[in-house]
Amino acid sequence: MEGFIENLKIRVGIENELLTVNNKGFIVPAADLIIKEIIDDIVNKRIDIGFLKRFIYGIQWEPHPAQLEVVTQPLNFLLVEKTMKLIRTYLGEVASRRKLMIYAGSVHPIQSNPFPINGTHISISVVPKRRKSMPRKFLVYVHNNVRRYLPELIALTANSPVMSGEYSGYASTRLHYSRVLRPSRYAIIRRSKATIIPREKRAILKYAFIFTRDKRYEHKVVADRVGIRLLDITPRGPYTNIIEDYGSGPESSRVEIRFIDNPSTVDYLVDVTHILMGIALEAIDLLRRKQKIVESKSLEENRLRAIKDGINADFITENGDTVSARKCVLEMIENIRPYLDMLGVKLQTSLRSGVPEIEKLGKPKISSEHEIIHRYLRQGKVFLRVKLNSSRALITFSGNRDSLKAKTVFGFVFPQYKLEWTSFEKNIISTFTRIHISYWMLTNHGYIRIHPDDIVISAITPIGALTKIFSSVYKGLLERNFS
Amino acid sequence: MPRQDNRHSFPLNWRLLRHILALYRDINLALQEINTNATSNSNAASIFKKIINRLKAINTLGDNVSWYFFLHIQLSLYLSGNSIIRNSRQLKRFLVSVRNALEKMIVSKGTIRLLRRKDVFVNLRNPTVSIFVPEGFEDLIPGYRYIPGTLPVILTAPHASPPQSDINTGKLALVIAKRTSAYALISNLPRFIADPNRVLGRVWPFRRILEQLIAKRKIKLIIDLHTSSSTREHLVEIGTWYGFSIPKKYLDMLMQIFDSNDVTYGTNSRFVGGDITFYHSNIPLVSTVQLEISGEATRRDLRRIIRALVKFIKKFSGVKSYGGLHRKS
Repeated sequence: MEGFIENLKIRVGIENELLTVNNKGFIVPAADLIIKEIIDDIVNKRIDIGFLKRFIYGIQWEPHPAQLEVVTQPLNFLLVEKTMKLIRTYLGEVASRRKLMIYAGSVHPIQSNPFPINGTHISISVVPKRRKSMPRKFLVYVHNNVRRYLPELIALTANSPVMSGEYSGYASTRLHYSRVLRPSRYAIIRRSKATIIPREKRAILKYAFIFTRDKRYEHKVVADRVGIRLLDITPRGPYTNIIEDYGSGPESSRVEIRFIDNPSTVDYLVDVTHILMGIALEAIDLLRRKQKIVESKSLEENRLRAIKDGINADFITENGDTVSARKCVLEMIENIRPYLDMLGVKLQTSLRSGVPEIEKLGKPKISSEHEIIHRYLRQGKVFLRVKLNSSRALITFSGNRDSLKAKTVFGFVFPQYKLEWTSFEKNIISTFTRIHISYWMLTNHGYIRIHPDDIVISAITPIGALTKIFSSVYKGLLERNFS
Repeated sequence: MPRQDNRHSFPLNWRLLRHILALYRDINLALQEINTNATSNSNAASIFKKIINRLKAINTLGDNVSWYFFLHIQLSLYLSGNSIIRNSRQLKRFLVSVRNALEKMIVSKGTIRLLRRKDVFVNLRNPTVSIFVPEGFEDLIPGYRYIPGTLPVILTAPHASPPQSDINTGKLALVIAKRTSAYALISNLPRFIADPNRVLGRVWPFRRILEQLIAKRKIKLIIDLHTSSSTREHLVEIGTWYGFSIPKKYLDMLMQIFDSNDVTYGTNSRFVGGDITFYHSNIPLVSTVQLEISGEATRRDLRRIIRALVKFIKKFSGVKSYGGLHRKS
């Protein structure tokens, strides 16, 4: 067993999505501003692009204008920590020049729906020393072994319990609400006839005669029959049926793992990478020993349970019994420990004892100043009649403060959020610790701060308010003529 | 635990559309009835009864439908309640505003797709996260500079404050307002703190003062000034929500004036208009137009644009210049 690892080259690539936020912690569409700053640095030679190119493939903007994606080169696993710290420190510094910050988490606790959700994509390639690319069987085994541990890995990395200002009820809100991450299937090598029409063109040509070449076959690694790459685990490269990878070189063969919620610190990210490397090496060892990776019947169910309850989930075993997710995670860590020892790697964070980051750092605490208003707003009842318990200021739209006696007022009520956070790196929000909600009422004359002891007399939806106006007109028409 | 959020649900389903079309018909009928039959109110009352029942039926279709109405109907109408309707003129004005909002909903096949743009899209299921303010809100009030005027035109520069400001828009609004006696509203807050040209910005003072001026019938045209950062084919991109926010005769007038002043322009190519253009347009009462000026415009270009806009504002307001004095024709 000891010898097999010496004949392997292991490379890790990381794509880490981040958000640009203002100094109050709210999302701002400033990704292009950050990119402009970086271009300025390159042009004015404030950074050594030649040095960075060795480690970083790129810093890209994503479809959302507040999202940035950091992509590393395929790296030796020993360089992951150094590279990620380097790039995050640099991004934090660039953001601070524009009085902005970077949020490293997966889901923003307030602006999360329909705003972007971030993930960390980790690509792993294990290549025999004599070869240039990851063989098809390696791809299949690594994919299937990571997939075997999918529920355990989700339970260990689920890190997004808050969405839209309240607990979503899911340990990984990102995975639950993701519109693009579908569950992957058991990977196999499929032998199919090669066709004249190239694979990437088949997606364009909806109706076409496909002329097959006799006696010409291609062997493709298939984890999804359609060839979609947006799965929670995907084998990538030209040996797969992924349409986008048709023209890529064999050296790009890898298994891409997309289900990881953004770890808030580099240390956790490095440990997750190490765990995945251990799983990949275990897969190669199973292949070497000609052992099959059997698909679990309850994988799908356990995946959903892990998304829902994280480390506190109960998984279903093959016998139909239940076992705690924490126990399964510890078992997984025990299974991969020999491989990590071979690599000379030790897990540095709480993950080594099966304690996920969210348990160690804690969930954000949510507090609302007025529970009744909070409930009404959730029901869409945004127009409220409130009896003010004390006199206070009415702040007009021009900024003047008029005195307002204690009386009943009607208006549109909206929340004010105060966010508190922890930063483990300079100018980077690692995790939000507290969300405090207070309320303002908008009237036609200005703004009134709602106090916790104010009494809500009635609450109504926008259509309800409109109906009321029409009803009063109707009554007016019956009683008297409008002149 | 909150109810499950179905992000794929979309409020403009056929059932709702049928209700909206029927509501549109009834409001038109009510308007006709008020216009033609001033002496008897019984017919109008029966139409209003129908409208009320229709609204009650719509209210049962779900929370997001109610929020959908909220997005299209002016906030000041809700806030004023029945106090804004005291005579038939005010009633007509109210009905026209509601009709305009319904028109926006009906043609929203195109517009909603744009409303759903990731940076402006509002979560239709959860109002509290769509419209909110950050901590320290009261310290940011008012956050704008207001220049009062006499003509029924306002120039808005919602992105005038750095960083990432639309350069020259603040100055442009000031100069044109000074030369024409139009109103001007210039934001002092950076868009990273509050962006008045987004749905989220509707509760900020910049938008409230704008809506207040409209409610007081002081404004009939909003010219929303922006600058595009990248190179554009034309000097000015005119955004009218595909012709929805301004009547054709005024758009033609603007284009004609641009032609005669050598200002090259394109219409609704990329910049169709932001939330100010969409939300405050209330044809025939209020027209809105967004002008996206090229970031590469030279001083001479800007002078041409100023000259053209001054002419347009005066022509729109029916003002003729006699030796520098503005008189209504």
